[in-house]
Amino acid sequence: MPEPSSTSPLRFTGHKYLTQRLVLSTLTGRPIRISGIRSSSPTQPGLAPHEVSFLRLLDTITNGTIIEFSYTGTTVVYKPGLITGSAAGYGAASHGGVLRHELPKECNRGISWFLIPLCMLAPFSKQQLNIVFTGPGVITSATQTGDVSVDTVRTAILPLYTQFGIQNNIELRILRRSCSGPGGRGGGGEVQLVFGHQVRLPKTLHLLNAGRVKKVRGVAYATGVAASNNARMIEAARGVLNQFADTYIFSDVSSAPLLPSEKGPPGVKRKVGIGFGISLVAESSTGAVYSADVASPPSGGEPPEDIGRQCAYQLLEVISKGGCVSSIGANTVLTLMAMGSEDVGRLQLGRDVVGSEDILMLGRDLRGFGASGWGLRDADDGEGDIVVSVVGRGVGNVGRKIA
Amino acid sequence: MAISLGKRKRHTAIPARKDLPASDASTSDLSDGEDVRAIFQRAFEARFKPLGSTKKKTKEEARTEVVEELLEDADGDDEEYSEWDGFSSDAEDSEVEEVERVEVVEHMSSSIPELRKAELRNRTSKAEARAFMSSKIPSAPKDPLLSNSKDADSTDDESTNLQNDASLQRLLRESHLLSTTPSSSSTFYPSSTPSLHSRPSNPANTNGAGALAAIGAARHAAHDLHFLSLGGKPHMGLKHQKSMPLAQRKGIAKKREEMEERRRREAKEMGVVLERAVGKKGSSTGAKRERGVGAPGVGKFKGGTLTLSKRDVASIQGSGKRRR
Repeated sequence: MPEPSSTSPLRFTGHKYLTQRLVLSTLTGRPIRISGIRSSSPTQPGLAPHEVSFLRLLDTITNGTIIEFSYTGTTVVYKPGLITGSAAGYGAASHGGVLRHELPKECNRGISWFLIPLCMLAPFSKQQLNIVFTGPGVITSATQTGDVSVDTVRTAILPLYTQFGIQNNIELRILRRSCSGPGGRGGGGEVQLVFGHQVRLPKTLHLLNAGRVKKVRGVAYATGVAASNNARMIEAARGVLNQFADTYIFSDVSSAPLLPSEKGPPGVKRKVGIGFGISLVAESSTGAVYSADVASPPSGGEPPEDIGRQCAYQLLEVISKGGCVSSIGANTVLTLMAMGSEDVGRLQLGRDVVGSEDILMLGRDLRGFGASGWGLRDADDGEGDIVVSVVGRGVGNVGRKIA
Repeated sequence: MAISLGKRKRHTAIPARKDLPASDASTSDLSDGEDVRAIFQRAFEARFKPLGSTKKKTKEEARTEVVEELLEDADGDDEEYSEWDGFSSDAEDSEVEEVERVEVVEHMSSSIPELRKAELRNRTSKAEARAFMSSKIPSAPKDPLLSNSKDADSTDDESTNLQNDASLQRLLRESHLLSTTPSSSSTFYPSSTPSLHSRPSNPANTNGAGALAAIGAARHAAHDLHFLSLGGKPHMGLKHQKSMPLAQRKGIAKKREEMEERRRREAKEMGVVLERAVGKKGSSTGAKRERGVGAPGVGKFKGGTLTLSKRDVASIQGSGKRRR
């Protein structure tokens, strides 16, 4: 591919890695053009509702962003602006400095699909980011589409930011819980993200010692169903994990969110997002976190014991892959390292984590956006891990260049 | 705990050596001197490590003694070292290197009662629940290897960098004040005229930009600029004040003139060449003031009457000194 000039947009195809590309585009300031978005689908071509919603979210937290869709929605041109966060005068002022973002009821991705990329942008924002996700499409639990629960974001993704020196005034409030609704679509939950620590450049990271797992913590949640489901999930998960580490799983029970129903008389509300699930986080002696997440399918029919046990096994699998960062957090850490100062940072990852499709595509996309390539070498400890060396780009926070 | 208790018992047992042979005669066939030595050796080995030169039997005995001492309860008063044969089969089967292995004994498991453990766990779990289930990031463990002093250093670096950035920006904004003529700004006054400093303090030890910190009138001007940038009104400072009593303004002008004159005089005395004095603007001191058309040439016409002040009368009469 010939090197395009800085003004011509980078070209991508397909709907995969959409958020990742949009985030990189916003951070580096390069416009992108994504074509062929589900163009082969006869029934639902173009951008899905949650993808459109994410683009609108980017428009909300930035200033000067230009987004152009084609008629069918199979092509998007995105010209990024400055990340302003919840700056006054851009829609936040009317709600006391809090942005509100409504998700449509057709949304079938968990809220973590929005939160994780948003958290990558937030440290580089001009002002603090304070945003409430609301509406009939907010699913706080893990989903069948592979998104983690909001508990995992808080307990396994956000702690990664402390390694970069980004730790103050960060909160993820779960105002209302919700599992995925009928057909895996919609939920009705409510989540508030406060990201109040903005930096010029994230610190250079050297994570080479994964340590040993010393404790396992977790949250079992049940919305609109009996609390005994939590106890059953916890017991099954502890039955697997107790022999390995100090395990403690907290229980959170809430009623189902009520949404106005489209059918029937007006004013009648229906319960959506009923279900239960469990999120487990293992923490090592050096602060590495591994997480696992399983929730009941929207169709039901899965006993809580199975969910608990499945989650425990999933956690053990993630731990067995090794490395200082699990595959869920590797995207975040590698992206932030690439945006750091012009210095070599090192990160030890499991071989399977580095070899996954997500990480390879992230590496390719970063190359496309002008970052230098990664250096890979085998780790010294003989566990088959790989040390990834990332040279930062020194882009940092454009909004905070002037102190 | 158990070790010290056991040892105390040994010490009490040593003076009672006399009746040992009588009681031990049936089980032990050691001579008296050997017995004493064995006791001391055991005591030594219990305290430190097995002596290398001793034969295997004593080692075994020592090991069994150590095990006995570690395991027995505080009230195990009837236990005699010579009567001990609890682990004998095990100890006799074991080999030399097994004998020399370090015994690891868990004290915590037996010393803390179950109830207290449960209570402790309950308390920690409550605190942990608060930390884990809050909306904040669950508190990350502090890495003792990456000491927090280093962390504090880097945060200090960051904050000082930010401070330096801010002061540099401010200096750039106010740099034009430094280049104004020394008469209006006392920042770079020569040291020969210290009396002219509006503030006696040395600029070098003022905080902020050190020697570049504005003092005197420049400081006031810098303050005004600062207020302006923070959204203050432009006429807040003395410099921007629109309306001022005439006497005050005159006083200021007079003082400024005086200062300038003194500066020039002193520079001349010192032999310092100064910039050329800016000539006074063509003031209207000599020319007559323009009065309105149809207005009287003298006095004030108001309410149909021409009012003449004493000075006007004097000017008409021509007596005394002429003002205009």
